Amino acid sequence: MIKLKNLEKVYTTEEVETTALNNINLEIKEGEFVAIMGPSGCGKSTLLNILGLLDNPSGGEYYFGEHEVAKYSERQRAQLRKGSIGFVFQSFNLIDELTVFENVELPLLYMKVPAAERKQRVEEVLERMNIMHRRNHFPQQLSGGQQQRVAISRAIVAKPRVILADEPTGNLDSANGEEVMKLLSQLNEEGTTIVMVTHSPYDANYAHRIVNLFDGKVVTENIKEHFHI
Amino acid sequence: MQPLIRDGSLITNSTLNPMIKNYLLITLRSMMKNKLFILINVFGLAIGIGCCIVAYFNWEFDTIFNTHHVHADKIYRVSQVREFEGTERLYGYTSLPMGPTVRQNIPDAEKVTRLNRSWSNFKVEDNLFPGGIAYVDPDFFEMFSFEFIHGQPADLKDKSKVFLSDEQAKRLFGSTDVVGKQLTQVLGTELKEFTVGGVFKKQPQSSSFRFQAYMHFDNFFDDAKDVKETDWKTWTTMFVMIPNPTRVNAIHKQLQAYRENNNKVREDFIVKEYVLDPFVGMAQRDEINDTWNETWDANPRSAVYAPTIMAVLVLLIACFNMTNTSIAISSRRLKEIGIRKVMGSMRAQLIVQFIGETMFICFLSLVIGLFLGEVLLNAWNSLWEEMKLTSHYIDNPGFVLFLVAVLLFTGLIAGSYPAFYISSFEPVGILKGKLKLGGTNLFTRVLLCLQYAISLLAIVCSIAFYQNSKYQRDFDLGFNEESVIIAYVENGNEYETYRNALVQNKDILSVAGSKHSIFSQRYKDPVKYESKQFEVDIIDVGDDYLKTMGLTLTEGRDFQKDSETDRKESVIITQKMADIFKWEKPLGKEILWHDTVKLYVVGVVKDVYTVGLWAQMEPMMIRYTNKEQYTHVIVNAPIEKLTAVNAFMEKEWKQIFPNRLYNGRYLYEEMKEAFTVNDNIVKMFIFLGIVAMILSATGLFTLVSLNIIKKMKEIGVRKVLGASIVNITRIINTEFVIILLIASVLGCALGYFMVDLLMGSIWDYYQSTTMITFIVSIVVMFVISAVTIGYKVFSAASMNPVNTLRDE
Ligand SMILES: Nc1ncnc2c1ncn2[C@@H]1O[C@H](COP(=O)(O)OP(=O)(O)O)[C@@H](O)[C@H]1O
Ligand SMILES: [Mg+2]
Repeated sequence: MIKLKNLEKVYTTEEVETTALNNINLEIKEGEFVAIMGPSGCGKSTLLNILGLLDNPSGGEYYFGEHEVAKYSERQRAQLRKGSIGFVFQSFNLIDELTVFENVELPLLYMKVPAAERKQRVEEVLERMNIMHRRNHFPQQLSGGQQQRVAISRAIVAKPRVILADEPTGNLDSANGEEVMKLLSQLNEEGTTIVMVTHSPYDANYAHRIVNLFDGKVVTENIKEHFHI
Repeated sequence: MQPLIRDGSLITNSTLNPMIKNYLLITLRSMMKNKLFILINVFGLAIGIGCCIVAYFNWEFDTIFNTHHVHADKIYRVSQVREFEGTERLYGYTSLPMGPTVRQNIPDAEKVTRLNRSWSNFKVEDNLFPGGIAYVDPDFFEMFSFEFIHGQPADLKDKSKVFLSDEQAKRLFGSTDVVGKQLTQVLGTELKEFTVGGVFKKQPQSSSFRFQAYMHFDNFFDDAKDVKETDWKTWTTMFVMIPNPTRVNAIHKQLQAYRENNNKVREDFIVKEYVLDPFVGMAQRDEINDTWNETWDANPRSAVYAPTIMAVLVLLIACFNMTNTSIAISSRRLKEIGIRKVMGSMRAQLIVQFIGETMFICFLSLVIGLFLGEVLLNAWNSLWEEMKLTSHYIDNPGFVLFLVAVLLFTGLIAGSYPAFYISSFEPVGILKGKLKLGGTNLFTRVLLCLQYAISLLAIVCSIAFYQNSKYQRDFDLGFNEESVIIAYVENGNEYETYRNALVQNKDILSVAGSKHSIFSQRYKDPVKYESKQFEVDIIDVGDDYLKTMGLTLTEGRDFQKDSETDRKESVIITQKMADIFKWEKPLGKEILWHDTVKLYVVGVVKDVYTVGLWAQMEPMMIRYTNKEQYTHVIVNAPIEKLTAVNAFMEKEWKQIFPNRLYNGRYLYEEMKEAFTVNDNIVKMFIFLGIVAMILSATGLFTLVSLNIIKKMKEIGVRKVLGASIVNITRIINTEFVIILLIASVLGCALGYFMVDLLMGSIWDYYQSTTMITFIVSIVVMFVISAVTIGYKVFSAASMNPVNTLRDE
């Protein structure tokens, strides 16, 4: 469902050119759980952002489903992103002025889901993420693990085909981290494609495949045996 | 494409669009988080809007001047252009016989009226009232719009009828339904009976005809006994109504034929041209050109424009504040913007959201501003005796439009920059946390600088006008304006009687009689010396005038008592007159008056500011007149005894002239208007200065606070590394000190020009800005700013670094 061909990303800032991604070829199938690993600054986040249609590559091709999206405008990308991609960030990125419920509801608002259905779907995920009792709290009133569970709720409430997670456990202690990882692999088992950036080999173990980046290039791909398409 | 705007702007099927609800929630909650800043802004904007409301109605007062006269566009004043010594000048008068002449000979001028004013007393039963009156021709009420409550305007044809304003009728009779009642006019020693012919609603203050009583013009000849219907030397104000505009040029030509009649008898006042001066805009033009006239003028231009400019400036300051605050605050909402973008929000939606938010705040301010407007309008009205403004909104689409424009203007100015700027960020950058805005950028710095410059402008103006008011109070006008009372009598006999009664009072230092006097009455004539000719003010005075009025003789002598020679040919001149003739030794100089009378200078007095500080002082010449001519009773007494002396004068007056109201006036009262204007302007600028300064200081406070928030970590790190409180304070403040310094230069330069422009448009003698003005203004600005941000900076600089560094 995702296919990258000779993908490149070059940042040009005030006469300094940084090649963040260099000739990436990668295919991610529907239902896969892929972990991206590599040292700091090797281009993991850049890759994830391009996969998530938040950013355009500087060269190469990017197929998202049947669309060639490498040259999409911001508006086209926003349109395609809506509802089909869920994001989970290391720093949660919840809106402080909105309650748990309202934060999770936000993607549905952009998709114009009717009110009754919105309520039902939000409550469903909150129930599932086990934070229903905190639905009227503000993010600042929650622990890190709870905040990340809210963020995951928000990412999955629109039933996206892909979830992109950038170091989702980076700001969590190990117990909370493990809980988040369990949630993600559970979602994956239910059919959601997951791409996750991580530093932790332990977390990477949850994935079917590990892509190692170094200096903007794919160095190795380890495929776990037990994964069958 | 379609979801673009729909999300952000429509209310669907009676339920509030959920996205709008979401925006409102966020707006309200983030407002609550920034309560203080929002409060400052809402009130700032409200005050700006309040000021604009006052400025608008003040301006409107000027634009509606005389517009209630429905025939205004067909009416012209017959004015004369005089040529003298190569210069031309318009006078709002014409010769009195022009009235009947035009009526008989120029049928296209369908209606004609003359107007002469007079001050007499009215008597109802045994009570006396002051009764200013205008003598007008019967066409008057058909030309100008008066709303009659009782009686018929057509009865103006009847010479024995008097027409009163409702206000005057109530004062005289206690009621307005008084048609047919008897009224006595006191003309000097004579009494004249009238019946009330009609009562009209008092003219609005925006009218050139605010006389409280009108009579048939023929009565004028009983009032001014020496004037004849055929006397071309007597002036009148004359209006004609010309319904057919194509005839105006022809009538203008026809008028010129009558110049000869005037020029034959007034060689000293040659009419070059009679003009048809349109009634529309007359009150404003007369004000601007200082045209002599009998009717009420519009307000000085400075009183129309200065409040408007200042109100717009205050509104601008408030807008700048709002912009700066929303930029600074929206940096706290970067994350929200990033997330919205990740969720698929379009840029346009974000722009609408942010502009919508500022519009919402503007709307709040507008509501409060409307209330404040009323409060300020009241305050404004209390400053001006002759102008009472009332707000009116519903019948006033122009103003509603104006308010909406203010709202949109403010919302757009304040909202656009943050909306367009912040919505343009890439979500990736924002969420990575790399992007940190807030605090200041070039744009916010420029705005802050402008704000401060404007505030300083207002401070400079208030201090300059305050200094000027002191300067003008201490100004030596060349005579003693503080300890003089003047009362007016009919003739020399009355003077004699009254004087004899007055001199018994030992507190009175001196009493003088005169025909004319500084500030009350004078005439103008051209005088010649060799080949030079100038027009000078002339007053005819009696014994002891110089002493009683406090004029200072610098050369020569006073008039000798009862000297016939002095009456015939001696004059005392002001220094200014000596100056214009370029006389080194003025004593003994021979001047020619009326081409036949030779006059000799016997004395020189210090310059007398004949019209106060309003206009250029005129050269003046004083002649000696005999007792029969006396109409002024001038009394000098020590300042502390003045009130008692005035009471004594009134008591004696009632004994001697029981049929007339006492008319003694303190000389300084005649000049009070000058001080009132100045004091009012000082008040206005002090108010604006305070408002502008508070707004700017809060703007600074906002920026400094947000800058501190942004720099928290830097401050923490520096402190860990050993920076002192002073170091940190300098880091926070340097930028702002530079901004304030630039603003100082800008504000002082603007203030320098604005003060001069304003004062110059009001007075001819004033004190403009001085070094002190600027120094005091700048010190005030810096002190206020330092106080405002001092605590904030100090607490930031002295905080425990552990608190900020823990966050990461
Ligand atoms: N907006 C940007 N502008 C310039 N260079 C960037 C930008 N974002 C990332 N980079 C550079 O691209 C490289 C890859 O960055 P990133 O993808 O964030 O690495 P990682 O997530 O693997 O630590 C780094 O060298 C980084 O400095
Ligand atoms: Mg990264």
